[in-house]
Amino acid sequence: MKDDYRGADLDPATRQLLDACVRLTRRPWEFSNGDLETLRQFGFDDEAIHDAFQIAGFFNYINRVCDGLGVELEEFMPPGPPGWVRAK
Amino acid sequence: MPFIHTVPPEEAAGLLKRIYDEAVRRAGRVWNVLRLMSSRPRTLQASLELYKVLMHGPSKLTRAQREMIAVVVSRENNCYY
Repeated sequence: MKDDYRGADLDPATRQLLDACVRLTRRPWEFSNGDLETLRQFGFDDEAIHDAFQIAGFFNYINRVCDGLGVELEEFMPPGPPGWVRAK
Repeated sequence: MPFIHTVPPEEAAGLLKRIYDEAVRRAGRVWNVLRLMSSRPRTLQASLELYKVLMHGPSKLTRAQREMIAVVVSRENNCYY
């Protein structure tokens, strides 16, 4: 999940949900009601979709606060995966 | 070290102290993401409240689904923390 959720064993609905959250993160301006219709077809109601996008939005916000202000890793976190760069 | 000044738990007072105390009660420690925002306790409080509502409040999404969204979005943003 941490590296690539697409390889994980997920039910189709959850996979669709995560795909939508990734699209929201990368290309939010492309969203239309059609995207929500797709999620509704997978069984998510408007409450669930709202929650999902609020959470996706929240983590987009907190990721930027953490990286912009230089959050310190917890001591139990490994130093960083290969290729991960922390600007000084 | 963070890029900005942060307030260590032993120096916290007022609202920040209340937030830190509750964090320790809940998780046994003050996570660095909380400490990061310690110079602006009202902001920290509001942010934490939203986090609790979204991640721990009642939802049609399962806890697992909510955590997965968090992981996947953070991976997209290359946010290692």
